[in-house]
Amino acid sequence: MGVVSSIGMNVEENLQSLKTSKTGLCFTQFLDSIHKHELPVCEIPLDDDALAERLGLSVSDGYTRTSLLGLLAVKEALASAGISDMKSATTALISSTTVGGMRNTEVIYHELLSPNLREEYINFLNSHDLGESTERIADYFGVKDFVTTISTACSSSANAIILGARLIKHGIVDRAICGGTDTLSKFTINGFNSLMILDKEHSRPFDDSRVGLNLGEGAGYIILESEALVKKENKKILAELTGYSNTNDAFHQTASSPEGNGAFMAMSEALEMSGLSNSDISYINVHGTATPNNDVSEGRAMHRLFGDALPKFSSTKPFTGHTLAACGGIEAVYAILAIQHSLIFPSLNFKNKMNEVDIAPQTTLLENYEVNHVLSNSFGFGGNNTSIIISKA
Amino acid sequence: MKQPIYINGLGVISPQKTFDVEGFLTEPIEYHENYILALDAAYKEYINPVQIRRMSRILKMTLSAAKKAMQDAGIEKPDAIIAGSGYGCIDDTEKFLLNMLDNKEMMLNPTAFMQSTHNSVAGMVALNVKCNAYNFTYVHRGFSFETSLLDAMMWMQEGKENVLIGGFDENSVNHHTVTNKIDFWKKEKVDAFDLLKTKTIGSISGEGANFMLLSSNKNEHTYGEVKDVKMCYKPNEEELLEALSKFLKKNNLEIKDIDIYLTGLNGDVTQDRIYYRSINELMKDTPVAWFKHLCGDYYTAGSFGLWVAAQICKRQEAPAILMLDGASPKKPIKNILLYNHYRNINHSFYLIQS
Amino acid sequence: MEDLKLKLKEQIIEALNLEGMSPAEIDDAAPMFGEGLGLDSIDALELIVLLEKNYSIRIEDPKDGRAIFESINTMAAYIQSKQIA
Repeated sequence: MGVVSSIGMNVEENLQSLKTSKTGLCFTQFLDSIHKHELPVCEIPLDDDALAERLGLSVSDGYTRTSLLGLLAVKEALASAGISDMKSATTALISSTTVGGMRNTEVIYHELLSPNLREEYINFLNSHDLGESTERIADYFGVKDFVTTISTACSSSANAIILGARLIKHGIVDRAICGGTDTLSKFTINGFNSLMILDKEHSRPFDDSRVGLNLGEGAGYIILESEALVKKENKKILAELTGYSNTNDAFHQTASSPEGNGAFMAMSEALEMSGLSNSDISYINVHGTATPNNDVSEGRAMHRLFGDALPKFSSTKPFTGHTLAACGGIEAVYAILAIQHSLIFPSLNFKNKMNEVDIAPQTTLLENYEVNHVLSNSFGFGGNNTSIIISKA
Repeated sequence: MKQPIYINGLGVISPQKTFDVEGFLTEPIEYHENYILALDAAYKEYINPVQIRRMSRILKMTLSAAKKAMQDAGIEKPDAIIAGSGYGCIDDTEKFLLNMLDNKEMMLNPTAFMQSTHNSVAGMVALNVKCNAYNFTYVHRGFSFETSLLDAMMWMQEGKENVLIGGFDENSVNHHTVTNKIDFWKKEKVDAFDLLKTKTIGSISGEGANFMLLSSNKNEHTYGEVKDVKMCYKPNEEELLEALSKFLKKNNLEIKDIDIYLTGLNGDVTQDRIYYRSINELMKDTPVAWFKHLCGDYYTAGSFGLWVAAQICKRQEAPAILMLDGASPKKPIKNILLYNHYRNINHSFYLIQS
Repeated sequence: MEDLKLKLKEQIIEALNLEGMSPAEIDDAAPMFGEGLGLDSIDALELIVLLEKNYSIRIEDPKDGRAIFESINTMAAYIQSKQIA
């Protein structure tokens, strides 16, 4: 597994931040936006050149920030899985992003359109689409067997994990690198702002006073391997993916249904696949964006499914911000950390229960808590709902 | 046992008369620009007035095409919806982006942002038919539609009966300007039907919304059967030919069994070289067909190719406009091999059987 | 006030792309959301943009929109109250 986010440039740094309640919230250093002193974000405190340097690359070769973050996280993931030779097994790269090269496009858009394009931008003429960053990652590490990109808004990288599992199940590949990468951009900040769901303060998931989310950036990837490959190579297993489901709320273009029907179905189907009962779930890493709509919808769905026996749950979004396509991958890494270190991470900024549903997240770090099965939710625009279950191996 | 996968419904909006017509390319339209648009359908017949008012053109195209494909197959609600697109809703993306840059980030309309999301199409189709099932969107260049097809085929092996898939991309002036700078498109005016006579780089930029209802049931709606699909990422020539021969072998076929070799020839001399190599070496006795002179080139043009193949299977005829060098298909038309690639990066083989 | 309402209806028809509708067809007192015009939460956000663009009125909390956008009457009254103030 590998992760970069505003709370750390690798898994270990992320873990330390999660344990010490250190959030990535700040005002942007790198985005030239009129909202830069007004809307806080969770930004990685390195500019593109500094990120590229860590990879031995040069930005002028056309590496977008999205590619660079993805490369860093995949690099760590491959190292942690002990993979140096891509040819040792058929390998898929399934990456995801919502805005691809937009961060770079928006800065030079008028340049790109002008007849006198400056030399330094030539390599960015074909870097806008969402497949581009995936191919940069594939080429850097030499992945050739299977390469694709998913974009289903905020559930994207959880869906990448589902596809990876299914490709392995169908024998198409032995191994899949699954996750997502997204960067902060003026485009997304203004987009979410036009929907009036950004909080000027630190976001407060599941709190009655919540008004919206904080955006973040990052990348998170996990590597799935078939049982046969793991046995053959005698590999150490970090965790097992035991259930997954993707459903559609079919309620509204952006909003979730008030009863959380899609979320309820996704969680129930994932549970059913895993063969676990409700009481087996030790922890739910909720989507928990802190928008008024999401948290009620998700909360009601959890309440419906688990009743009064609701497992410990928390949203890690106040740490990382909402990283859009990356959040499912990042939170899958956090789920594995919770299992490995017997921890439940706190849901920051929670004070009072929502009026609509009588539930409260875990607000402090819980240590020495045996975590066997984590349910991780990722819900997005277009009614897209994904739940995955990660279990102790 | 392996579950056969049938194409039971088609809904295609393209630069040709492919929607709401009985015939199969009976009146082909020749374009003379390097930028061609799909023919608008009577969208209001497919979408109710409350929904349509907010929709961008690509949303109208895709929803109409998706509904048509389901109607054609007699299916009201599929068991999964999977869409693929290289650029997604690029027009709304550009609209919001330009507004943001020109209005200095003030007073921005949320609608364009909301609809700029790549999965707004698949989400909207689900919303429209109240489909709570699996809903995915692939956005990987020349693999966008092919991954959708593969995913659908996997689901049908797992027991889903009816899966709606679609490939869509729209043209936009700004995007055309940008990609023109990297020689994606021809600089000179070109007669589309003579595209292969040009000896220059670049193709013609097209668009389309091409939806299909795949089913595990063979019935009166069935056009043909999708046997297999295979993607190859950045193969060299040897790897490519090896992949092709493996693909045929896996499906128990030899080259002589292929009745039509349907290619993605696009008139760009540097890109077409790759097709000609296989045509000259392996497929020299196989009738060759092409389709990009009809729909233009775009990331998901393969979905138009699959529509062509499905129609040929059902009708057992291939209009002359499709055939290269006056060839005629071997009859009966049983096996169609579709080979397409996008800029020599994303290569794909499809095998379709009648 | 009548002038304002007419202008407002024209602006709403344009902003929300209410194709084929004329100002006369919109009842001043009818609810704009749900039953009446059938608008939804995204339209409410578009109306907030409309107020800012055409009347320089900013609504910070989307929840405030509900009462203001109840009907053409309430919306016009709100604009007038802001302009006098």
